[in-house]
Amino acid sequence: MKGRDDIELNAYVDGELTPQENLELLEALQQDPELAREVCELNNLKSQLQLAYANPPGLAACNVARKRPGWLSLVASLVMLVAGLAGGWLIGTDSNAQDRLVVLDPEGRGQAPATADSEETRIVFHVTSPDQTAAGELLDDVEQMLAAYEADGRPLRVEIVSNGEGLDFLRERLSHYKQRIHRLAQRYRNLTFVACKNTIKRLEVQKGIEVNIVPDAEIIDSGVSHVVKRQKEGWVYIRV
Amino acid sequence: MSEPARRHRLTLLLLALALLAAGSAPAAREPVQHVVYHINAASAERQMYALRNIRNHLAAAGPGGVEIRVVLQGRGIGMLVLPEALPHLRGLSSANGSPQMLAMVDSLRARGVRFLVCGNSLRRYGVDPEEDLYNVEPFDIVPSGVIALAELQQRGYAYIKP
Repeated sequence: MKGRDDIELNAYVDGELTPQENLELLEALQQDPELAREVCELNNLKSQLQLAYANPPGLAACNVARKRPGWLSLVASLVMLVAGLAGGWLIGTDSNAQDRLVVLDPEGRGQAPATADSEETRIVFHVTSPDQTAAGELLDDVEQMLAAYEADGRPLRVEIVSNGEGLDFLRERLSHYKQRIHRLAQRYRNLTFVACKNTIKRLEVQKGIEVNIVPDAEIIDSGVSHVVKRQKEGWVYIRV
Repeated sequence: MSEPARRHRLTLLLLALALLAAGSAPAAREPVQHVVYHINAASAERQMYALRNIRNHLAAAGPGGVEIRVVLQGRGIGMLVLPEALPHLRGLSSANGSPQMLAMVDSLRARGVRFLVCGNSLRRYGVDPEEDLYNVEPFDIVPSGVIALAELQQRGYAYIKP
């Protein structure tokens, strides 16, 4: 970047610059494609953040606490202080231990879910990159996960959604993993591959070719709106 | 002291005792946001870009305003791989642990950011966690980065892929 720091770009994306500063930055953007790309990525990040916090899970309690009358919050903070001091003393230096156990099993398995065992874990993977190496690694991880959950009798649902440049992964002629996708789809009924119809149509119009999708994948209208819908339904989202 | 005030004090004491008994007293104000950053890009530029995002995020949220975990997965683990390991790696051509990158990682760690490394990816690329990685303790290695990403989200962490 030339003479512009991240803070300024962030301020621009957040609409916090003065009109004059805005104008200067807009001019700089026209001159500098690298800068423009960076702003575009910041915008992208911002919308991800907004989506992530549209319905913040498990943090509602913080907001409620703030609405209490003053004296009650004073009492609450005193309680917290006393309890915190004593708790800190009791737990000592090991305050991270509980945290660690959830993500990191001491046996090295680390696969104990944060949810109750009976609750279904639902994950949507969003494949948007043309890099099929990463997609192959994804299949390794997903296969391992499906096997582990099945062995433990824990319910799991996985969807792998491809759109944009990520569609190659599910294209009959371009996928590096046709056999593997077929085998996994046959083996695990809780695994679904999904291709985006918008992308297929766009490719057909732009390139004048017929785009065939591997037979194991379902085709839905829009990959993007599908993953947004899944997130709103409470699915875990991971972009590949 | 008036009767209601005394009752409040009693309530307070009981609450404090109850919390102590539960043994899980929060030691400080809960961070407002919990965020997990997912990094699987191979290139040093992409990785540095992600770290700058995190730095800006910390600055914007203010002290204690955000708790950040970073999951390094796939070729993203290259961020912490020392360049001298390069000759014996399998299929990972980016050992991006340059002094500049590691200084950035250190400064984020100093501000409470925790870097978790995917064990599957270490094995896949033949990375020895003790020899080849920069300051990664055994408890920073998760068996599967993907599962860690899923679990953290289930625990209320917002997911960001820069």
